[in-house]
Amino acid sequence: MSEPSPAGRQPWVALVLSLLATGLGHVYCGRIGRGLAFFFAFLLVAPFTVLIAWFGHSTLALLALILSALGAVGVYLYAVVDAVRLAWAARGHYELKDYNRPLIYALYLLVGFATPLLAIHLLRANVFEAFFIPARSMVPSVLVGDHILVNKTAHPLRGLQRGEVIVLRAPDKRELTFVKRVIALSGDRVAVRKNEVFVNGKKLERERVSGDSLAFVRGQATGEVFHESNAGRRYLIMLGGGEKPLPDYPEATVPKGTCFVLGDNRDNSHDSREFGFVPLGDVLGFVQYVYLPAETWARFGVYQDG
Amino acid sequence: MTPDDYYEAWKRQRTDVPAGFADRVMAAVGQHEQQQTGLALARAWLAALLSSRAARFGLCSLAVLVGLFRVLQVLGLFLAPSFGL
Repeated sequence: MSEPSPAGRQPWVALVLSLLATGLGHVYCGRIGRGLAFFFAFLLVAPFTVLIAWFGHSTLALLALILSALGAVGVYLYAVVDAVRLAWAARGHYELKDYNRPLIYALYLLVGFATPLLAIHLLRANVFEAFFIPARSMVPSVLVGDHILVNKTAHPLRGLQRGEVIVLRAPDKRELTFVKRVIALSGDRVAVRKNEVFVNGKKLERERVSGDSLAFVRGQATGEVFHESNAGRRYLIMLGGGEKPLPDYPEATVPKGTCFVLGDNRDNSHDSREFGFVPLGDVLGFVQYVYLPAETWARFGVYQDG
Repeated sequence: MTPDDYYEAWKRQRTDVPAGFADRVMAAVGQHEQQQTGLALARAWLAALLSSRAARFGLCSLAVLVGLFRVLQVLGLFLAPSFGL
């Protein structure tokens, strides 16, 4: 029986290297091309997520986004198994390649470990961020227990629109984020009197909704549900059922670079009636997907009003 | 001076070793040997460490933890912090 050569590959080393940086185990086993292919395949989730944020606006796009994240994990794990398998095959004899040097391993480790961390951090900071809803200020549109994805790419490019549901950093509690609906934009005149909302002197139209179609909301809040229309958008709001009536908001012009927001559960919402106008810099993005809906899976996919 | 004299003078200039040259060479050789010994020692220490099963198990466990962290990080795109009111 021949002795293993000193250069023979050790599967446990391939395992460790592969877990630390995708493809590094392959470099150790002399398959740098294959290792780099795994590395870039793992990173594909980043540009794919950006493309979905820019162009995808369907339930299919959300499914593709979830599958791409799971696919990245699959590539990562498969690369580990593949590297161990290659090392096992070369454990008796291995001819060292030019790149089998400590310096190359160190550089690959640095880049291979840091790049995915940076990519995911940038995606969360600038493209999509997930949020969980623990409060009922947006019932019946966004429910307690919903998990939503917020698109951060659109509003800096095209600006906000009236009636849009956004996520913002709370002006009065900077450590908190709120989900609210944009009611008025810079230059608009806005007022709230006895829960009637006026934008540029015109009352927002409301229409009562029968409760039958909204049975899933009843477990979360009690009150009357209405359709409200604002700038061509029609969405659900809830009135009544609050512990105390919220204050009116005297007519004011929305200053430049700010917006006025309200919660759809008008009697249970901490919003612009209390904290005033929201600087546009505090808007994180708009609600694009409900990826883990509360109450009913019928709400899975693209967020839809009413 | 004839051309030969010039040539001889130039040759002497080329062959005259600056003062302390031999000492500097010997010091550099010693330093290099010391470095090689340090590197060899480090390699031997690493090899001895990695030859123990416990060390290998520890390294593998650490790498698995790093792997879990990386998987969670990718799935973290869908892990959500909480809202306020």
